[in-house]
Amino acid sequence: MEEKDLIERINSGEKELFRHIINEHSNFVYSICVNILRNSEDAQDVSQETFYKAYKALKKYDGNKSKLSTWLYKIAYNKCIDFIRKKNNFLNLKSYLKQKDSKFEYQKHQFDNEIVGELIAELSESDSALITLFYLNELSIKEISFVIDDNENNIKVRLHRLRKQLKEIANKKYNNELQK
Amino acid sequence: MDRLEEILKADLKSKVENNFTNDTMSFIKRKERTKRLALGVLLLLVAVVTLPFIPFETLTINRIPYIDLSIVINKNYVFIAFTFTVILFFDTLFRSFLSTNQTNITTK
Repeated sequence: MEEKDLIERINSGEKELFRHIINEHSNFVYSICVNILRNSEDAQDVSQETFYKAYKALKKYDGNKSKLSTWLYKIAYNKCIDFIRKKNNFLNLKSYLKQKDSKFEYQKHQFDNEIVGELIAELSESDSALITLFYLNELSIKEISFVIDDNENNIKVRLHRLRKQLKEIANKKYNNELQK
Repeated sequence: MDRLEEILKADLKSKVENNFTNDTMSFIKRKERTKRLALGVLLLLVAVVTLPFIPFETLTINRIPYIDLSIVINKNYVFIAFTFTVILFFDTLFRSFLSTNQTNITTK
């Protein structure tokens, strides 16, 4: 079934078909969330919120403006930013609780590839989002600009700077492994 | 750098758990149900607050054509009919605002 037909059918009432959209895009949406938030549970929650938001707003989706995947990434990106904002407000409380309860531990996401995990850890949330969108989702600069609401030139500059930064980090840490 | 880019392309991807789709569908259904419940409670509150201010009166319809009868509708029935109509109206209105015209998620 084509994407356009699928969306039309969902909008006309066959809501259960939405599971096909989830099946198709869940791994990429989750990857964006986990690379930004670096925590599996949070990423899973935010991914679910992303799909719920998409489910509610599917009637407003305009296929001429962007691909469905790009639209979903934009929602995921915004949801992650919202989540971080809320969490930052909560962090003060968390550090207070941490003092009270020493058993409190923050579970970080374990990346399959240790190098990737460590590189991601070195970047800010928005930089890792940019890297994920560019390398993993292989979006064009125009699409990335749509997702993160920034102009194309800024993105090009940031990507150039990030590549340089990643190269430096990788050279410092993993020169031997990367030479293999 | 090329090797690094290869690694990033290959390994930035993380996989969701197997039951993610089902969990998400349940999550969506749960959220929709909660929204509908909240809407119901809101309607009930509006009704409870506004209805006592409406002075319902017994309605008399005199000499209905052809059958030539008079009907008296007790004010309690007027109240029930009015409330039902108002709730139906606002329910439809809110549903269209909130884009939840589908009362059920079908299982086709």
